[in-house]
Amino acid sequence: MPREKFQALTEQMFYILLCLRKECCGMDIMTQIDDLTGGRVKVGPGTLYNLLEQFAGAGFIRETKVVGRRRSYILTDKGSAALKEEYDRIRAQAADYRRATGEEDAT
Amino acid sequence: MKQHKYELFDTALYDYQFIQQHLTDMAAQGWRLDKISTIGYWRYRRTEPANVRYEVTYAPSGSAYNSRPTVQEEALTDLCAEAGWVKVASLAQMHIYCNADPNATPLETDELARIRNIKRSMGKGFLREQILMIVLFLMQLYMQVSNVIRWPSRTLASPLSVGNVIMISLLVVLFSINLAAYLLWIRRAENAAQEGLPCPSSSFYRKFRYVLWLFVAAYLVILLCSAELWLVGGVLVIMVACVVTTRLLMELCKKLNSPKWVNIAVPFCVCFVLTMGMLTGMIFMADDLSLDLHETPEGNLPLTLSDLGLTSEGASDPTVMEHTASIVGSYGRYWDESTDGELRLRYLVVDAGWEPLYTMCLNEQEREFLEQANWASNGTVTINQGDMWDAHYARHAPGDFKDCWFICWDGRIVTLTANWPLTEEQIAIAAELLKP
Repeated sequence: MPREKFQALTEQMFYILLCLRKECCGMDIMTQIDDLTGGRVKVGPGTLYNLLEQFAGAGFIRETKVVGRRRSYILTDKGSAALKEEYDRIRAQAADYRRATGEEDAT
Repeated sequence: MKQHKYELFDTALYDYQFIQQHLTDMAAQGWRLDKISTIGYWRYRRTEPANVRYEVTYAPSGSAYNSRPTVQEEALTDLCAEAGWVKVASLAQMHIYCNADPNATPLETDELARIRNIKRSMGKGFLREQILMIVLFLMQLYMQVSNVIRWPSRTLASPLSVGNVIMISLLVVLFSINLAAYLLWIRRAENAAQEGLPCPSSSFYRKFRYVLWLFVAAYLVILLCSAELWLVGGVLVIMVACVVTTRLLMELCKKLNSPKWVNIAVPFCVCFVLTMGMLTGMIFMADDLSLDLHETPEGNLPLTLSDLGLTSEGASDPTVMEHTASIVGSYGRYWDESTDGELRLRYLVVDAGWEPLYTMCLNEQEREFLEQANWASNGTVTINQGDMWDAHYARHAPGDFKDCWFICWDGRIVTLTANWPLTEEQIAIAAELLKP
């Protein structure tokens, strides 16, 4: 899968990768995102399945174990880099916002 | 009170919005989806009317030929089950889930990811099938059109050939519209998802497709009711029967948990055998049909020896050797021979009303006439004899044993051969009787 597809991660992609810093399965990801965002971000099972497949295809995550029919995944170095890149982008955006609104001086 | 309801639900697999809405409406009326058959029908079971949410998702790893769900499909089902979504049915890459909880997280929460997933799924199933069908129908159309180009007079006069061309053209249009509508929809849906707009509806195309199917059905009824075209309709019915049989067989193979290659190979082989059988049957039927035409009762000949004053009534044997007519033209081959065998009149009448078709028939008939004339009169062929026949064009090849004429009127071409030289009076009578 071409890297270009994930150049800007959507909010849901970002949180899925964020959860996968530690090994977890699909259902854990959905619960963790819900807890982490206080229910603000929800990832449906269809979307999660689809994104996990795409991330695995792109080498962002890898399967770690299969217990019964439950599959667990973890972030790869490539996935970590993509997550960090997205974090830096968001931070840069936030810094731009603060500069533009003068929020930085106020604090 | 019946417990099951069957529906021939002709919708494109990618049209998830329509499918979801339709199933939710059916559940509100007390009908829950039970099964989707590969033959094409959707089965519902009676329940209490309820507000049930239906959602459609896609797994590109799925296939209509798999006996069991793939590992990835099982993972999807488990994930959905953990989120409270119950699998209802699936067809190829499409999976349908339901949930009675109105507050449950939707199956799909990222529209762009959903559309791209649909694109990947349809690329593996729907798109390949559509392209394959269009290619197959275009090949058939090419064969039919080649026949028209090679033998225009006979082919255009054959109701079977013309009926086939119309039917195949209709199917090419239908499948091309299917394909174009999908490509258009997926592009619009992707753009809309990128801009955060709602997914575009495909309702216009759906209605348009219903109209096209109505045309196909109406045409099939006309074919089956027609005395001359029933064979084309029959062939189409057999084709549908072939498709249904192969799908039933595939269903059976899947029930026996056969591997994917068996599920593909067995129906394919059976389909091949059935098609070959059907074609052989068609050839036999067509032969019978042409025999019937050869036995057309006499009395309808446009021109006989007695019309020319050469024999008395009953002293000759006028025969319609062949006669076929379609909506674009007709082809008739006639013989008349005196009972003592002294006089022989043979002629061919080709009608083609539409100018381009007329030109094609003219070229073919003139070519054949010249070949015949070369043999009969050693190449002595005159032109510009139209006035004698009250025609705009005529050619004459006088010979020792044969007097050959090629005459063209508006929309009609006649090639006439007599074993004596026609007199001017006889030509005048023949022209009067043969011209359109």
